[in-house]
Parts: sequence; structure tokens; C-alpha cells
Amino acid sequence: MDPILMAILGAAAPVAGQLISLINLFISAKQKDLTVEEVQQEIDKIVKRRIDQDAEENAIAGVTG
Amino acid sequence: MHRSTLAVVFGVIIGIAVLLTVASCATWQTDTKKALRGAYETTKVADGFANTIMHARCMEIAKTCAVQSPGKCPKLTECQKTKHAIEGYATGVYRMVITGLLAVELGEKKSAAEYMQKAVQMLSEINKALKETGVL
Repeated sequence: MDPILMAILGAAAPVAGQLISLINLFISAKQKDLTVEEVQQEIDKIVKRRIDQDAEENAIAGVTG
Repeated sequence: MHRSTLAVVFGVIIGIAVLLTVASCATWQTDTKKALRGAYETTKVADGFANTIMHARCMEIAKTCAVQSPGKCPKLTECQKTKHAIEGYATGVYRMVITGLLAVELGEKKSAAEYMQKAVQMLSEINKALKETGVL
């Protein structure tokens, strides 16, 4: 059996609700090789998310700076 | 919800361990790339889940501050610090994955394996941080 599928099935066994998203992960994992750009994009997303969320939270609390 | 997510995190970590040890006809480059993708996908799930919980937690604190002490909110600063720490672990894994991918491209088998192992170790750190902060 494919090692990625084995890993995903191992993770999914106790969590039926997560199965569909994990299968999607498997499909995307099989479609193409992971690239440096793809991973870098995730880092960039986290950085942007942090700035946006902090700004939103601070605005609600009335905190500036 | 928390227990099932914990199971996913553990399951995928165990899955990655299987990936590392499974005998395969593929080249070491293919095996290493698959393991790195496993670390990457697991981190995406763990980071997404943790961020949902932590952002909601910080928003609640922000709303309370807005009513009780507008303009000053040390609890929010503390909450954001915790949120950033978990994000720091996630970006750490991603950096290891990037370095591992580059090592694969350069044909550096030993370095690639080391970065892959570091990425997996850092996944355990994420899991530990999630438990310590009560996200899991």
C-alpha cells in the first residue's frame, strides 16, 4: 500500500469526521510534488494572518499600538 | 472535538514514523519528499486548528476588555503571545521542510534526512504546545 495512504488511514481510523478532509489531503499530496514555493506561501499566510488578527483583536479591545 | 483532533495529530505523527521506516522501491528522494509533505500537511491541520481556537479565545478577551477597561488589555497581549508562539512552531516546521526540500534537490541525502527528522521532532513540539496551552 502507498505509504502516504497508510499514514492518512492510520490518522483517520479513530476520527471518521475528519476522513473526507484527510482524503483530500491525500489527493493533493499525490497530485504533485511539494515545492519550496508552496511551503513558503504557508509561512507568508501565517505572517499576514497574524498582522490581520492582531489588528482586529486590538481594535475590538480599543488598544492602540 | 479536542480528543479527535489529538487523535489526528498523533495518528499523522505515527503515520510519518511509518513513512520513515517503510521499505519502498522508490528512491530516497521520493521517500524524503513524501515524509516532508506529511510534515507539511500535518502542520497545516494543526496550525489551522490551533489558530481557530486561539483567535476565538483572544477575541473573547478583547470583547471583555472593551467593556471593562477599554484601551488597556494585558490579558490580550498575553493571549496573542501564546498564539504567536504556536505559529512560531508551525513556521519552524515549514522552514525545516523547505531546507529539506532544497537538500533533496542538491542530492544531500544525509542533510535531507536530518532536516526531515527535525521537522518531525518539531511536530511533537507543536503537539506539546497545544496541550500546554489547553488548545487540545
